[in-house]
Amino acid sequence: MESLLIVGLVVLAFYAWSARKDWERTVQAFKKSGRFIVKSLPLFFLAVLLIGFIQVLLLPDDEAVLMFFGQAETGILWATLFGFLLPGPRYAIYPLVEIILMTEGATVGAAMALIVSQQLIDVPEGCFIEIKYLGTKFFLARLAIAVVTAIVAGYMAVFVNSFIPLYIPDVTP
Amino acid sequence: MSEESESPSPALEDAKERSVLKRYLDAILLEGFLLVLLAFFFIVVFLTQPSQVQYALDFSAINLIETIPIFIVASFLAGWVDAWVDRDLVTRFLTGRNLLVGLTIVTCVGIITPGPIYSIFPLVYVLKRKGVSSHHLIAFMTGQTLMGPLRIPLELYYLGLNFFIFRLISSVILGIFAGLCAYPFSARLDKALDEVQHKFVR
Repeated sequence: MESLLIVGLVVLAFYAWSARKDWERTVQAFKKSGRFIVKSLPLFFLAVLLIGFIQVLLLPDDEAVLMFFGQAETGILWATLFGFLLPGPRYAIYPLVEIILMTEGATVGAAMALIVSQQLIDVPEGCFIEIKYLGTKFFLARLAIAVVTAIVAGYMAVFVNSFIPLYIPDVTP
Repeated sequence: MSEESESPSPALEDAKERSVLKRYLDAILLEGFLLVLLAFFFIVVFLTQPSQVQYALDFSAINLIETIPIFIVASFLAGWVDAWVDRDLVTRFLTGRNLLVGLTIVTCVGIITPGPIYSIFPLVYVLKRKGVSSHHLIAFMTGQTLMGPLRIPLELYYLGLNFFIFRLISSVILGIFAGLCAYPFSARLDKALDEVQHKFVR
């Protein structure tokens, strides 16, 4: 909420400066913003409504998730796939990742791949708006790059973790 | 001037009509598809887990209340950028530089840009109109999605300092990596984006 307030104030300052400098251009900016909102809001509304229902169906219990992420070899691949399908805001992934990291046998690479893939593409809610603004080709290209990026991120984490432990569990009671 | 030249030919009128129809179809296709998908998921949840319908609605409502203000602020920012930022300036700022330096800059700009990914699409759309290439856009979006000012306290709380520092550094590296992956196809993606933008402006 704080960051929204800061960005909101910055945008307000931009418009105040704009109004003083060139009124015509400020009106133009308002019109363009209005057009963005009007064109995207219905889609945005539907997409957010959809995510609520997908959330109910997609999230399996923690044990099932850990069963996939615990496998060292395939953990990164499963994490990449699962991350794309996992709905919700991007910060919602951290509690799940913490559980994975605290579980003996689960790889840090899978945890990293899960964060990256969940955050890179919002498959249920974001992809429709992305397609609307940027088109299917661009979305598919970004999806393909995101898959590669998530896998690379997983292996990067495994590599770095072999020198510096990335996760140190808090053992204080 | 002859009568024929003043009134358009039937073929031209027909083409115009088709174009108008196609424009409306394009506009409702995505929303319509999403509406069908929503109805499908609603029915599935209603039939399999009826007690969860209220939870799903509450989750969506909270999500909507949290994200709509961000989306509106981001749209106003995009409108301002579109009205004020000169296309040539943006193009010069990024294209005049070394590829790696350009990708590093846009990734870092992405990291400091707050908001969920769907709130930045208007901004990405405008950046494209200002002449920013696809590989730069992909690097920007990668940086924006992987790390954000809002999530830093949460990440530190759940994952600890070491993991956070690794994530911060890796976000920059991965942004550059994603941009480099897109670089060979950048011209083709630029063309595809131009076609989409042409439709959007209509």
